[in-house]
Amino acid sequence: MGWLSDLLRGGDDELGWDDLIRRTVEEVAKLSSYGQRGEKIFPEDVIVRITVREGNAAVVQGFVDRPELDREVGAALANKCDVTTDALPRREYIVSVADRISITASEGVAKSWQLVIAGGDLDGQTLTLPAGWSELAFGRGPWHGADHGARNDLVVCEKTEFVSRRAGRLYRAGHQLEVASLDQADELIVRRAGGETLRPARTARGRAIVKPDDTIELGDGKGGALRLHVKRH
Amino acid sequence: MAAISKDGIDQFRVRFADLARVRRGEPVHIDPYLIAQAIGLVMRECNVRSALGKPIVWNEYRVILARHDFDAIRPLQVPLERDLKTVLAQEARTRQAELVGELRVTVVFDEADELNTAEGVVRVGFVPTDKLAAPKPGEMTMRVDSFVVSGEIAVRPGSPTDTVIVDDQTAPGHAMFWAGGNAQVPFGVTIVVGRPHPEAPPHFIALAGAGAKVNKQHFWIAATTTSVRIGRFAKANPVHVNGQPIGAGEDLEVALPAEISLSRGDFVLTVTRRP
Repeated sequence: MGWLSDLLRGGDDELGWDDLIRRTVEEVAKLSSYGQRGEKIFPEDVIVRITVREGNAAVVQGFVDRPELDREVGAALANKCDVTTDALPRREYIVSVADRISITASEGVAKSWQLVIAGGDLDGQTLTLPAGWSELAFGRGPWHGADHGARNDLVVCEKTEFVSRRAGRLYRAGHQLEVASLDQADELIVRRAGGETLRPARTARGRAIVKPDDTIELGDGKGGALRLHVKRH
Repeated sequence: MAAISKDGIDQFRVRFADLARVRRGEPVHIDPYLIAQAIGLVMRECNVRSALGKPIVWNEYRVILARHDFDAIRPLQVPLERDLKTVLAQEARTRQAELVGELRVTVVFDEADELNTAEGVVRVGFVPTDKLAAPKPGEMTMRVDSFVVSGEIAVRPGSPTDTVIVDDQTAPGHAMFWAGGNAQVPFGVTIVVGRPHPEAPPHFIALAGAGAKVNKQHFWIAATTTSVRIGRFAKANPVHVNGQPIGAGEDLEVALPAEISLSRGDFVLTVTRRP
């Protein structure tokens, strides 16, 4: 009956959503070992290399570009290994073309993310996102809140008034970032390298995917903006 | 399946097909009624209370629709605004709810195109009036003053552009004095009192000389021949009448003369019978 299950999955030439998640989980789970107290431990960063046939590459790249895929992998992996999602490794997905489908996972150091500031009083500075982060608050100055009781992880300016103290929040989503607008509201815009624009505050999830070479704009509502150019090295 | 479900800490997912009770697979035409119903249902989900146990409801609502649905609703902006005002006012009045600021509803489309037709998201928040962003050109935005929604004062007609000072010296009523000015308080009219500002409501006494500690809409006053009833707006700074404090969103009836102290003595005014 192997031929039937292959057919239902789309055949040997194609990799579907569920199959991709299942096989990724199996591969990443192989990298786990046991810690001093018998708990499962993982390397901090894992590279998942996916090879597919040429005709299927765009579809699979589309899958890994969706933040839901990494979330589902995380949930399934946590379930399989009986650990919390905090204990899981950060996952980076690389899709390439080959003559056969394969998924392998190996320990590796993920590329680091940087934000290059253009405009405002910290113009020209580069912010490197710290290793091991999952969520980062950013805005004007190091503190925000009524009594300045909350901290910004990333200070994008000190005195540029149109940037909110609690401007937004960055989330790690597999090999991509997501950004949500907080007090910057509709004046936080993600500008794609191709010119397309998107306001996270006007999306159903309240977040927008950010890719390398995109720009996060923090606007003043009159055409002026502080820009964060997103780089990956 | 329920028409709305919680979809995060500050947002709800709306299935308009369930709200409209159409058969599975049938198209749903999203109209002002359905949007108003959806917001009303979301408002009911708010279980936040003040320290006094009074319900507080969210004052900012952003309705995110699929692009196709948004295009269909756009020509219906006028009935949408009318219906929303009525529904929200009824809902807030039923719950005797407080608001932390002006009530604001914005309808936009999902720029990420992740919503299916007949699906929507309502995102909610508590936002003080001074933090509400100005509406953008082409944006469907409805703003309803908090006192209008709380049902204390009827929906205000039209949209006055200048501060209106009640100044009919011939109408029966009492006199209000403060350092720097005076005004009449006619009988049978509920008047809002506060710092001078544009777009004040029609029955408004502008306290000339008032500083920033006096709110633009600080309290309301309604006079009878023997007494006055004074109410402090929910978001206003402290109000004391003859030394007695009025809680936020509450009111008090006192005999004349009455000394009204705003923001703990920052601004004092007196209401007396007119000689």
